[in-house]
Amino acid sequence: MRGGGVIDRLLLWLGGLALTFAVLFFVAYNWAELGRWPRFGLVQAALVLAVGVAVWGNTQRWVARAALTAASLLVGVLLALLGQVYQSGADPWQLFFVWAMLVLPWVLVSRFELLWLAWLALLNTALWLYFRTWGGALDVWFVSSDATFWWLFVLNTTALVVGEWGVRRRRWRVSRWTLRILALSSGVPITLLMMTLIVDATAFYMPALGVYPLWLAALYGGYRYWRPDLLLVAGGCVSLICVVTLGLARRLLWQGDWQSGSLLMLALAVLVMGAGAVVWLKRLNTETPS
Amino acid sequence: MTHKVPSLRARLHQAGIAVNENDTQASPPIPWFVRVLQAFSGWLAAIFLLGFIAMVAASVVESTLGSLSLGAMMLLAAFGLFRVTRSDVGEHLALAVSLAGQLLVAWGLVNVWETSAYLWWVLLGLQGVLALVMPSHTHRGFSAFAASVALYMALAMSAMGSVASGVVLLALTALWLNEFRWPTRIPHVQAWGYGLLVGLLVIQGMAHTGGSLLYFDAQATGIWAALTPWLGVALVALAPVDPRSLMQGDYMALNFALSNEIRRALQSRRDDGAPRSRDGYAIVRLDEQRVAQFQRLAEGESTLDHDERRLHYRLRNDQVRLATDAFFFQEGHAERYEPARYGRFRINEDGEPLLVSLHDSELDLLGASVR
Repeated sequence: MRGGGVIDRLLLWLGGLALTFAVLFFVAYNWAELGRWPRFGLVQAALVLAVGVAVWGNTQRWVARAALTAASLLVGVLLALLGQVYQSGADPWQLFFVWAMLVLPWVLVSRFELLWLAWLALLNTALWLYFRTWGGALDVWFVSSDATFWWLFVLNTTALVVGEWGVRRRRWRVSRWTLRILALSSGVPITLLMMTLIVDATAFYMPALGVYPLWLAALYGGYRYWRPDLLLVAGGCVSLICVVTLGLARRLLWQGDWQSGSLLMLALAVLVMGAGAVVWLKRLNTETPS
Repeated sequence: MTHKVPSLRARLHQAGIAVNENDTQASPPIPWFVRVLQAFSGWLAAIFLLGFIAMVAASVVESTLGSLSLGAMMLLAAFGLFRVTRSDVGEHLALAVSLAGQLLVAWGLVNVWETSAYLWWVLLGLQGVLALVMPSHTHRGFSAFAASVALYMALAMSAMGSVASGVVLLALTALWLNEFRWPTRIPHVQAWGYGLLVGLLVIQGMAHTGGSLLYFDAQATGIWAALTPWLGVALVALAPVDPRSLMQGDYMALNFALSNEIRRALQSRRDDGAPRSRDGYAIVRLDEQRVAQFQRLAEGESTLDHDERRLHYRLRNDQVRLATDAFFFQEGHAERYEPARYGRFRINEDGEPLLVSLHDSELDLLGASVR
């Protein structure tokens, strides 16, 4: 890439995405006019074209990446088309899971972080939908089923650990933001599990009692000393503030009777925790300017 | 070269920028996420604080004047605290007090105007003033954000919501283009800029999800309302996104009488522990018009009469589905399918159904899904 690389790259990406979605919308808006074969033919031709560009086209890395991303999206379009034409009624999670499995080889060869993240998002969606379909009895949005968050936590934490291991041992070039997103998607489920445990102390959530402190300690140790990243330490602070506040609220409000004093105490506790976190983070920031 | 240094320093000093006299290390700037954490915990504390005030001084809060004056007092107190304090704890406390004050003022204003456009215009003015005067970067940023949301709500109330993002974008661009124009105010401009940026993202998000925050009917009034789509396009130059699902056109939700019978049969024999999702087979009999009538649920391997068929069904969250729960057609072709009363299925040896076409009450073909 020469000096004007950013614009070139932007145009490349916008062009690739626009072409992909053009195929999608062309089929959708001419549904009645197109027969079965033109519909499939069009999407498959676009798919072959995208893969062809990636394999034989320009040898530039970014062109191949854009082409593979477009091809991965087109696989999803093709699967959706298959579901629409033959209304066989597969469960939604199957679409996302099959999609993820089919594009895995391309994700592997593209060596492209954004595509990896998108792939992980597909798996997350598939898991989420799977438990929506086969999950338990609780329909509250945040416990839409019992096991979802455990599996999301396991999946995303594994991805984070593998990513960090690759950076450390294999010299993968993974940007810090990718790892931050992975850490966030591992932290949100475990925090929600812990909060669910506080609200509804059933045996199912009990492991959170052990896992959550371990997770916090690992986050602290990992991102304070091993690979300093203050953003993630701050994220851990937010998680802890949420959990402690909810625990206090449950003790003071649910179990005790509603007294004005307990609300003031909660406000003060949040203030102290927040201010403490800010002071501490500022001090860490002066120690290790990132 | 050296003789220019003092003059540069003097000019910087004149412009109000502090220059390190000796080589002391300046403390590094506070990262943005620490400010976010600060804003978040301040906001959380403000909610509890407000609850406390509401319980202690219920009579004051209930009267409009009372909550307005109490809110104003808290804002003034927060302002004073911001001015006096240099510590993080003090700034934190001031932020919480100010947010609680804002909520009280907003509460008082709601009593006056309900949720009309006036309310949002006044809130916009309030947040604008706070963004200008409050001596805290976190607060400036938050107020700029709140102001942009208030602007959106105010405009949306007069059915001009699509203009809001353009106006905010205009302000945002103007701010960032003039970031270094006032040397003493660079941090202020940055705080406003970040706040407006987040506000813009939220506004766009609301617009794309169909305005989930708007619980009212926007009535189009006057010439301005008629002009809004044009204004919005001219300012943002973004085509409106079709709020329908990204994946293709329209569909018709299907619910077959057979599904209801299967569901009833399942419910009648089911105990509480039964799963809400399962796969199974039903036995149907075809009458002389080849319309399937529910016979029974299939139990194990049973022999079938010549006019009976095994049919695979899927129970999902207490809804029985035969093959699919939706029939897909091109956008705008809805009328053609409105009289649909029957669906035609192909069934293979395993009893797996495939929806082929929809038919009206006379069994005439309306449209096929597989051509």
